[in-house]
Amino acid sequence: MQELLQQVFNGVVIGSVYVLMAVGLTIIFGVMKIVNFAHGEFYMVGAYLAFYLVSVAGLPFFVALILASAIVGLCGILIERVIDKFGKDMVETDYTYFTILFTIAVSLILANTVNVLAGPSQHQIETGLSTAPITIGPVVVTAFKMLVIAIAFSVSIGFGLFLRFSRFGKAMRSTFANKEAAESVGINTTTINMATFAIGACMASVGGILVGAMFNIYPYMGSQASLKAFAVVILGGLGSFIGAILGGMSLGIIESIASAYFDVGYTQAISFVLIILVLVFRPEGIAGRVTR
Amino acid sequence: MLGVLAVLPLVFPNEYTLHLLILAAINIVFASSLNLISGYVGELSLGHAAFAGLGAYATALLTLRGYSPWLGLLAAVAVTGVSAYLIGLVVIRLRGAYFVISSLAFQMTMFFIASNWLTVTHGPMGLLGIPKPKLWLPGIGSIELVSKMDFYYLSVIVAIVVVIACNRLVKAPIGESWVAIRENEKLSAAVGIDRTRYVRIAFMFAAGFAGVGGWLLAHYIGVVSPNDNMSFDLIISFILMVVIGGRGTITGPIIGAVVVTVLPEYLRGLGNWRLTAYGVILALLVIFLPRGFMQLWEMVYSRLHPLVVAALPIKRRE
Repeated sequence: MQELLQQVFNGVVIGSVYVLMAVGLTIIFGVMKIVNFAHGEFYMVGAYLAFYLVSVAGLPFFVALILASAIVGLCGILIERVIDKFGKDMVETDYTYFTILFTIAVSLILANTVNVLAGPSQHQIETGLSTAPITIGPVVVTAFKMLVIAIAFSVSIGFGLFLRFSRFGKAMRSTFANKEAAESVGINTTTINMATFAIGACMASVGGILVGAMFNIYPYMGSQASLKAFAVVILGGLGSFIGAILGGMSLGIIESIASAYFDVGYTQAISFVLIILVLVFRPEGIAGRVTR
Repeated sequence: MLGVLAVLPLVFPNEYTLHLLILAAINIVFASSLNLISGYVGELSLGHAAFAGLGAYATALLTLRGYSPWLGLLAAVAVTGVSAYLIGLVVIRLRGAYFVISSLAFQMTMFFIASNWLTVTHGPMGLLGIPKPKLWLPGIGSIELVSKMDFYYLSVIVAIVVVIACNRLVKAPIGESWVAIRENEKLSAAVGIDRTRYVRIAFMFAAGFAGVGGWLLAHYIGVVSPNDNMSFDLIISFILMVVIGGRGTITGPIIGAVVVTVLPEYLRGLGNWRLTAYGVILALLVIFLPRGFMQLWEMVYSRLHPLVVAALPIKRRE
């Protein structure tokens, strides 16, 4: 029983990162109908940037976290601008093709460039926090893992509150619901699109940095992260914020429990098996809208 | 044209050139097959390498147990065809982004199985020592297609057969249905085109041809492994082939396949930046030349043709 609780805790830790990734991916899809295959690379680039900021520039972890994510957010805006400029007048099917292939291209470029520039070896981001285990009831944690949960949750929930209560958040939700209608009431969807992509990229970057500090970073960590993010988003429903949270937590916990009983390699397969299962039985996911 | 192809290896008996030509022929098979789904039906499939790999593994497993490579060919086609049918049950009712993601999930699952089912596939080390096909010719008897030259002829013939088959399919009513589905799904349904059935057929043909390509590759290289036959890199090169050449045309994939086969040679100077270069090329293509080389050709042709006609002496202008 204690073992199980421990695994559940670990699952919550990694699940909170999945939630971060998934929320970013799902809002990008919801607002702009872009399936961002480069999402994992935002995660990876953020982690590498933070690593260099901490180990080479000597910045404290949290400063590096914020700075790196801001930079990645700006990159996100850049990519969004390119997509918007060239994709604006395309027909829906052409647009889908274009955004998918373009983001795949971006992910290739980013992953390979980092691989060449930084080398394939793994690194870990220093946090400055003690790694001593702390025992809380039946579960053993570290300070940083608690922090991961705290950061990931505050960012995700904070964003959720922002979406729900702020004016800009309302504007985002309107664009999400119906772009033309939003435009017709005067919402500047261009700004909304840029902000959405930037926020999504930022969140992915935060996720990458947190993982980079807990485990390690390597150039191709993005593709695994992308796959997990896709699994969560499909599980939760493409475009659903609540779905991303539920899905992320579920995947994290399921993987964690499974890793106690199966080979680590097999737990990776859970993501894609899950994708296939969801698509077979309920393609719209847990919280998605039924549009068959 | 055929004459040129037949004579080519005699003109360039260089082993390396032959190697490139063989790979180009195999890639033509792959590109043409992917084009059926991604070009004509219009759904981007990121799972095609899985079919190529299945064909390769099917023939490898059979021939390593002593069966004839030709039986391996049948097996490759059968296995890929059947799995296309099965996968299709899940995947065909999806569209757009969902289709793409599910095809990727299928691809990753296959890759995972190939890498981890050690007893059957030997994982990343792969299966080695795959024999070459033997051909029985009247008067000559049985010859083993060992040399590159022999294999060149084999792969070119297979490529020609596949291209002609694709051409026939595309020009037939079924091909027109595919285009109808791609262009306007609701309208095509309104005139009675059963999308599920036609897409399933496209899927099975595409997978079958990919299996043939995988068969060729397995027997040529002699080794199958997840990284050679089913990797994500392979998917990228397939997509590049179809996008560079122009999806939705018959010649497009041929051009794309040749370009992608030859590209690594030109990009060799870039060393490790090769994949980045692919990414940049893909990005630029998708932005500026989404219909690939055939688009470029059309642009050039439509501007040149009137000029050429005008320049000819009056007698010739009929």
